[in-house]
Amino acid sequence: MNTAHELVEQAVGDHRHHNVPPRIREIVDRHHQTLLGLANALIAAGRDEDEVVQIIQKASESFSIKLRTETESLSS
Amino acid sequence: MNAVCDLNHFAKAKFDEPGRQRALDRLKVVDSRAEPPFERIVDLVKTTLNAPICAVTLVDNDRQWFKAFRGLNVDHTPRDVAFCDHAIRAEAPFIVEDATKDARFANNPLVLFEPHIRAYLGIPLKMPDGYIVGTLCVIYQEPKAFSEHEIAILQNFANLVVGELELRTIAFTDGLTNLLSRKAWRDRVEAEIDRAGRYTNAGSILLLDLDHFKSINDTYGHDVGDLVLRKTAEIVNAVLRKHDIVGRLGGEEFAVCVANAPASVGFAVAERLRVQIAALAFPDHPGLSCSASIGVAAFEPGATVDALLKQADEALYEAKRMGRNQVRMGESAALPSWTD
Repeated sequence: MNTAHELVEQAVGDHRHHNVPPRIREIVDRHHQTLLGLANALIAAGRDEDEVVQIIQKASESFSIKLRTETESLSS
Repeated sequence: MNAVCDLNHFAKAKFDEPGRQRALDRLKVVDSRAEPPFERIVDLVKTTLNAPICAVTLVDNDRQWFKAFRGLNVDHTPRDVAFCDHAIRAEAPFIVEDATKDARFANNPLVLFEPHIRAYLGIPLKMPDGYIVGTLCVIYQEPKAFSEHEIAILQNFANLVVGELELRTIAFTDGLTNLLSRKAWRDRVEAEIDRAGRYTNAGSILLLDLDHFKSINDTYGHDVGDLVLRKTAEIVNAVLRKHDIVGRLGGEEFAVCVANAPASVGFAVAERLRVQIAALAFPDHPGLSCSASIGVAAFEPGATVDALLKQADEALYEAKRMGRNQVRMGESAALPSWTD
């Protein structure tokens, strides 16, 4: 049985360690905490691991794309 | 319920309606186009919680407007019938298990008629400054008791919505002036021009350029140049109406869309901006003054943002050529009539 942390890692990796500008770092950290919370809540509700990973992936996809774009534009 | 409370990680919510409204205005999100992150979240919520209706709701002055929604036929409703207005005041997950048995809602038109709300769960969208701007909600057309797990799941999706709103604000905002960035301004104005075309509304574009800005930077340094830009942005915000759209296009160039008003109003707004910018005082920097040249282009049927910007740019160039610190109308626009 994987933990919520492991399922989130499996779904999106740990982008908290990427080189994000300070103004965005706080948002990224909260986003990661929220994904962990969502995974925990889904597990507690009896969802299976594959479903949890899929939901976390979908929930995070747009954020990750926008984050990448924003990080690039701020560092350019 | 601990999981819900622990994830509600911002400062205590403040129910101060004017401040709340300003916090919502700062997001510059109401009436914006559909955006993938919010569409994706309502899809996920709908599926995960098996909800026929789901919405990201922003509670504006007199209406609730849906940034993303599923299962509804309208994109807003009056605020005085909105369940979400109760949710933002509750400042906690707001639950109605059977609206027909709740005196607050039994005669609500949203219960009696479409969408026939019976059960409602709304999680306030609390921003880091503590203000609640709206909710993420699910609606059922049958009575329903919500489990702790369902509330926790929706709470976490609501936290994701808040993160998306924050990231969106950074992406769409010019960091120095807090005005819209060039791209965000264009997107908003394109939507406004579409709307004006549908309803044959008038409007105009103002292109404003600070005069001799390079010499301010060269003489006083970039910190003072930045101060001039921030002061200019403050004036523009103070002069404009809530529904006008203002952005910093880059450098010392600003753009304004004066919506739903004849060209004469756009011209008058430009003139007011010019006068107030010329009157700016900088007590810490004796001898520093600034002025702006402004070009105005009136909406015309079929005109694109690029065409209007080009027309305003030509008028701006003419204002510069004629000696700066003045306003000029674009050539193909009708001359302003002060009695419009």
